[in-house]
Amino acid sequence: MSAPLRLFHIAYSGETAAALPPGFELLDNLANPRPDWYEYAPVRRFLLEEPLDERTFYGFFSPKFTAKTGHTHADVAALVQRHGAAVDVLLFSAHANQIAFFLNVFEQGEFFHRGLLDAARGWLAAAGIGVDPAALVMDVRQIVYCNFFVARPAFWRRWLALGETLYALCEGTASPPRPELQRQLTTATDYRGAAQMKIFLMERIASLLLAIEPQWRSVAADPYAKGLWPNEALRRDPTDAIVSDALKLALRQQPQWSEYASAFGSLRRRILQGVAR
Amino acid sequence: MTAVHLHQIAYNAATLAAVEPGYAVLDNLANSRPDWYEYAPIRRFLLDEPLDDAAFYGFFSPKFGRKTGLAHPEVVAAVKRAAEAGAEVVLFSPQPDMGAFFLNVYEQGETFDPGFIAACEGWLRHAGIAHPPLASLVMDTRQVVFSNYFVARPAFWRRWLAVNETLWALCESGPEPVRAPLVAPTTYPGAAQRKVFVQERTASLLLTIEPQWRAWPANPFRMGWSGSRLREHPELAVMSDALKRAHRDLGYACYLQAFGVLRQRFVTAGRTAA
Repeated sequence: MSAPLRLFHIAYSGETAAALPPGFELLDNLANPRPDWYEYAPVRRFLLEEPLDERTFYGFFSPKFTAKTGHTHADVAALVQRHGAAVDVLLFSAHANQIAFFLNVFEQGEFFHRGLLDAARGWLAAAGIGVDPAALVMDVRQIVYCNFFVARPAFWRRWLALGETLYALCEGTASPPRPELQRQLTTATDYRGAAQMKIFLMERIASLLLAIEPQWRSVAADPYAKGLWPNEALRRDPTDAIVSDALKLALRQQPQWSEYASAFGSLRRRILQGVAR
Repeated sequence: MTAVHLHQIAYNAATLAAVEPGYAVLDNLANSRPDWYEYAPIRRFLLDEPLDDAAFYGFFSPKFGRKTGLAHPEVVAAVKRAAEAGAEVVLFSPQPDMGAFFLNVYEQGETFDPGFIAACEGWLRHAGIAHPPLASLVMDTRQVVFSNYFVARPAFWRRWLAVNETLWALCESGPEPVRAPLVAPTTYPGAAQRKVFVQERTASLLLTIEPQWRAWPANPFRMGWSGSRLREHPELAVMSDALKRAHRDLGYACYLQAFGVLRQRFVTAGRTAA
């Protein structure tokens, strides 16, 4: 029995609407009334307004999906057919080095956007989630960037519920209001056009849920086989990245075995030394 | 309350006197079949003694404490923790470098004893035990067992015994073309026959090809490492094991490719040092 799949291509301009790839449906964001929320705004609207079929996998991708990941609609559909009966979420991340060399997506975010960890801690505390995001271990089965995942409605509802806590804090509609946290979450970063910090937290919701809520079953498309690498040398010899990711997978399985953490730490120190922020 | 019955094998007066506190003695003083090493007394126990299906059993050689660094109370505590986590087989396998740097225990055996894999496959074929090519199996710390240092519930021991009995029967009176490679002497001290090392790998084989067994390994990286130069690169060993874990769980080819690259680095480092 094949699992139904609906993939949406988010269009925020005439040009991106015209570039609808084969197999995708259009998620119309041409009006783009809240560009400060990036893809969260149209995905949120869809999830709040459209009826969802519980058996169907849904995905909402930016126009850069195929360019970044190397995956087409057919690739996504093939993975869904292969694993759909056994999983809730399928990941299609690009940037394997960003998956591999950081302990988790929050540490990665802090590396590129100082202050992200503090903002994440404030948000999660306000949302009643008692985890230290800096301490989480995430491997290829949890890490997803750019919201490049497909999931059944159960996961999307959980994703939206957590996203809405962030939304309310940032919009100033949370109760009680938290103006200092709101300021942190809406601080401009130096990412294109000064995207606010909230965007990088919103992008990390799926990874967070997969890491702290073990009921979600996930599978990842092999990020080392396709997708972008930051430079030719790493693409030619991805061994360090692959080892790093494997060590995190082992560490998640055997958290008491410090040898995996130690090997990850020494490999990562070697890699990150000399990497410019 | 999980009952844990641990035995230490005594095959002479000295090993009997050295049985560590807490262990029951598995009497092999008569040592009527020294050519089978520990398999002979364990086999006798499993064939003759009633087993409690809810309990765990283990049978260790006198070197267990020295090789693993574990005393009886630590082993019992580990088994109880593993039982709470749902494990049926608990591994206490030392020499993590021997486990990590090789794809599996058969490749490891072949490295030290050329012809080992062919002998094993001859046995399995003769016994009608379906298996992938042994050289292709991927084993990590959740499957690798050396020296029969594991503790298990009777269900696993019975399966282990059934498989080993096909080896026993073959080596005792099987057709010579299949039997001869199994009883060939090795370079191991005392010219131990190859069958001893074949038998020692049965637990690993079952944990690899029969996914219903739930195994829980004690941390081998804190036990004794081998006496070979493999021990000189502990971090590479840890990484190699992690890659095999990732390959077993996710199946991406890249993990085994990276495993190969690390192993080549190890070989290259050895050449440079030499």
